[in-house]
Amino acid sequence: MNAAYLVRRFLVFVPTITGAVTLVFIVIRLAPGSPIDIILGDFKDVTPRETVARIVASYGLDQPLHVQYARYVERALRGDLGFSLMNDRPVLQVLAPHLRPTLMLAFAGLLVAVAIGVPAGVAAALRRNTGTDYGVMTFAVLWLSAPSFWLSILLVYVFGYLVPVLPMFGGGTTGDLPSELRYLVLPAIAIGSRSAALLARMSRSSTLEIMAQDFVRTARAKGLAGRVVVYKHALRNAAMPIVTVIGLDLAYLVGGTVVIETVFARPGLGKTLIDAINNRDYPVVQGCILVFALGIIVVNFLTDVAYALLDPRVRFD
Amino acid sequence: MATTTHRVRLLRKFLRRRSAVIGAAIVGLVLVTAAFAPLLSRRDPIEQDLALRMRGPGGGFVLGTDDLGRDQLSRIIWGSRITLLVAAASIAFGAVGGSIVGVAAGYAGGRLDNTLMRAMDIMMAFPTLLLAVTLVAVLGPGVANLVLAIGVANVPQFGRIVRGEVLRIKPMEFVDGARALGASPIRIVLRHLLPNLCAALIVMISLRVSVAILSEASLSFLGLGVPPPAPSWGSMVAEGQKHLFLAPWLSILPGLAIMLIVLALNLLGDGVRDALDPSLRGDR
Repeated sequence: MNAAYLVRRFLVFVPTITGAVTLVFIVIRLAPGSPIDIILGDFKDVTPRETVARIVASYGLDQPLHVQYARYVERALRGDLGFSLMNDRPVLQVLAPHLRPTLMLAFAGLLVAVAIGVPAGVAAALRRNTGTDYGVMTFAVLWLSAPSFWLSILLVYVFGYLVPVLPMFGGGTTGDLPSELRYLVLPAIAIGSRSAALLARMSRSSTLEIMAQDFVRTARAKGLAGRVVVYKHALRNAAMPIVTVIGLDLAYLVGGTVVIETVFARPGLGKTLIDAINNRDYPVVQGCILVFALGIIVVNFLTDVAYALLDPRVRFD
Repeated sequence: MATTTHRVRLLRKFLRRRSAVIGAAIVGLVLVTAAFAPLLSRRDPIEQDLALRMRGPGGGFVLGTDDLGRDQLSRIIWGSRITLLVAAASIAFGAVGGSIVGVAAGYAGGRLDNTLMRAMDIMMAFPTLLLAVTLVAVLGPGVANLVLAIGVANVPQFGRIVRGEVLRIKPMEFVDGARALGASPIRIVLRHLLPNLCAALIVMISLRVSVAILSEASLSFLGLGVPPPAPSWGSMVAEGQKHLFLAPWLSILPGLAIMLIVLALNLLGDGVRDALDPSLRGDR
C-alpha cells in the first residue's frame, strides 16, 4: 500500500470532520428558543434573574457565538460534549453504552446485505434472462421500494407473533452474546434487506459488464474451467463497483439504525437520538449526530482504503 | 433544445419499456386520487366514531377503521396528498437550490467552486434521512419544516450533478460563441446552460422523488413529520403498530401504499433515465 495515497486521503478527511463538527454546531443553534427555556421549563418565569444569569454563564451562553464555537471545538476534541439537559450526566457517558448495539446492528445489516445480495446478483448475471434472473431482479425492485420501518413491522408480525421463533423488542441481555444475537436477527434482516436488493442489482450489472470483457473471453478460450473464470477472473474485477456500493451503503445503514432501533426498541444510538429529540435534550442530540457523522466519515475513509487495496490503479491516480 | 421529432423519439423509447409505462400509470392513478380526494373518500379522514373502532376490512369499511373509528380508506386517500405534496415541494426545493449551487460552482470555478463543493461533501457525509431528522429536530415538526428538511438534504445531490453537467457544457463551442457575441454571464447561464441541463435534472428528479417519499414516511413514522390528526402514510403505520397483533391491517395497508408509490416511481425513474440519458445506465 502506498503511504502517500493514505496521507492524501487523510488530508481530505480532516477538513470534512471539521466541517461536520461546524455544521452540527450551526444547525443546533438554529433551534428556536434558548436552551435556558428547556432547562428551566415552566419554572423560567419564577426563577430569580440572577439564577438565570448564572445558569446562562455556566453553559457559556452569554459569550459571543465565535467564542462559543471555539470552546465547543476545543471541548469536543477532548471528548467533552457537554451535559445532558435531562439528567445532567456528561453526554459521552450517556452515549457510550448505546454505541455497541448500533455498531452490531449496522454490521449485522451489512452482513445480511453482502451474504444475500452479492451471490444473488452474481447468480442472476450468470443465468441471465432465466427464471433466476427475473426472480432475483423482481425481488430486488420490490425490496428497494419497501420502507424499512414497514418491513420491520411485517417481520415482527410474522416471526414474533404468527410463528413466534424470535424475540421482537429490545436488545437482549447486555454482555450475553447469544441473547444479543437472538435479538439482532430481525432488526438485521430489516435493515439489511434494502441494501441486499441494491447490492444484488449492482453485482448483477457489474458481473455482466465484466463477463463481456476480452480478458474473460481469453480466459475461456485458453480452456479454463467455468468456475475458475468466474471466481478468479471475473468476480475479482467486478468487486470494485460492489465495494463502492457497500461503502455508500454502510453510511445509509448507520443512518437507517435511527428508524430500525425505534421500531425494535433497541437501546442504540438511533433510539437515543429520537428520545433526545422528543425531550429537546439538545446536547445529547448534538452528541449523537456528531458520533453518527464521525462514524460515516470514517467509513468513507475506509472505503477509499479498500479501493486502493483492491485496485492498484487507484493509488497512482 | 429538443425538437418535436426528438421528443417523439424519446417518448417512443420510454413507451417501449413496459415496466416504465406501468410505473407511470400507477403514479398517474395516485395523482388523480390525491387531486380528487374529497370526491373519492366517503368519510372525513379525521372524523372519529368510537362506536365503530377497529373494524376489519370489508363490511361497510373497505379497509376497516382504526382505534379512533376513523375510516382507513379515507385516511389513505387523503394521505396521498401529504405524501405527494411534501415529496414534490422538497424535491423542487432541492433541485432549485442544487441548481443554483451547481451552476455557481461550475460556472465560476476556482475558489467558489472549491468552497461550495467542500460544503456539499460535508453535507453528503450525513445520510439524507439523518440530515432531515437533525433539521426537523431543530425546526420542529410540521409540513413546511418537513419540506425544508428533506429539501435541504437533497441540495447536495442535485448540486453535484448540475456542477458536473455545467463543467461538461461550459467548454462547448456554442457557449464560447455566445460569450464572443458579448452575452452576459447571466444570459449564458439562463439561455444556454439551463436548457441543456434539463435532461440531467429530469433524470435526477425522477430518481430522487421516491427517496423523498421514503424520507417523509420515515420522519412521519418517527413522529417528526406531519402532526396528528392529519393522515400521513408514515404516521398511520406508526399508529397501527400499537395494535399490530389485534389489527395488523392498520399498519400493513398504509405501508403497502408507500411501497406501491415508491415502486411505481422507481420503475418510472428507470424508464426516464434510459430514455433521456443512456450513459447513466447502471444500477445506482
